[in-house]
Amino acid sequence: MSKLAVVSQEKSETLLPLDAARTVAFRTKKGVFTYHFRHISMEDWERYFASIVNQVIQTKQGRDQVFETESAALELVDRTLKSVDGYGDLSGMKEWKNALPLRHRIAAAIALRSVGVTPRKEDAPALGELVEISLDANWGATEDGKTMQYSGLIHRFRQPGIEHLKRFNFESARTRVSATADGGVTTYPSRQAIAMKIYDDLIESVEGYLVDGTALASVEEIRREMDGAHKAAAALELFEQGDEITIE
Amino acid sequence: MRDLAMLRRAAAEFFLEGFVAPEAERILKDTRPEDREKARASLYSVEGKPIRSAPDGAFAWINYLCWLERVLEIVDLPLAAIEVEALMVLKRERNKFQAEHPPCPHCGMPNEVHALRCRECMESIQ
Repeated sequence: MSKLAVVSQEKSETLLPLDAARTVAFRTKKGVFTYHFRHISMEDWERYFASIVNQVIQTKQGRDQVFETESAALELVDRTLKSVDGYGDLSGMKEWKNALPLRHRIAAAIALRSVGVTPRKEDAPALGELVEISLDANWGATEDGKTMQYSGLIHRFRQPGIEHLKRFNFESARTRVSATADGGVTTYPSRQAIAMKIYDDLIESVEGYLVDGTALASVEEIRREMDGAHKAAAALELFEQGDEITIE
Repeated sequence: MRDLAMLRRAAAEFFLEGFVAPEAERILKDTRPEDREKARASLYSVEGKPIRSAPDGAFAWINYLCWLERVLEIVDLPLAAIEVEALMVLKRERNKFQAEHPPCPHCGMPNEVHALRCRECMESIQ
């Protein structure tokens, strides 16, 4: 099997253009492949997170944890992919998306949701009116196939109230249980999807993003334009950040 | 979790697990790592059957309810009907469990109602 790799990465000195075409490029032994996507909407991300399978299946023998993201990844790519380069002429093929290698489509999806919290420095935590979360993300590729890497994308939130924490915990605990002959199947909700919804309630400002060449200024604009995967990553950190506290 | 019967069963199993946990964990600490999984299954079982028979989702809901109980000791929060009903089930099951497992007068650890000595401090409790 050939190994997939992002062609190469280039640290961007500019702001992340949320409205730019989304392109993913990667290399295998057979060459360089580029995937071009349409804008990925909030609805696309909601469907993606909802399609991630996180289940515990209980049988007489015990309990099996099932965590499966590949189907969700394939669905996201198939729904949003516009065109590809590197596979020759696919114009005559009706079902051209299905002809693309599964591993390539999954790799493209992983690149699309490639966003994470910037590793924190050992500084003392700052208490303030706003909570600042910093993200690093890959977004788009240059014409020569380099994946653009953005770091220090800032999201500032109001401090979550107990009602937000309750909502997050309540939604996280709302599992779906279906009975089987041997026991039951518990389906867990996606914590990213829950966090993504709460993001809009708490966000105050962001830094590092552009739409139509202008920085995102108002809360309304942020709610409307921010990428769903970035919302999920930032808001999830809001509820899970901090060192574990042990009370003795 | 709208199935209150399942919640009741899971709550009883949850409290029983809590009851056996201190001793089980002490034993597991002294068990060879490669034998721990088997030992755990045996320690967390009653008459050869695992204590946990309810689906995992019921325990996720109970963990949330326990968190909510602690929060409600400090602040008032609006509750949904489903939360109130579930909290009442949890409270009833806890009361029942505590009645069947009275605390040791010396160290406070719960014991079987018919126990002669505390399983923790070994003092006489009859």
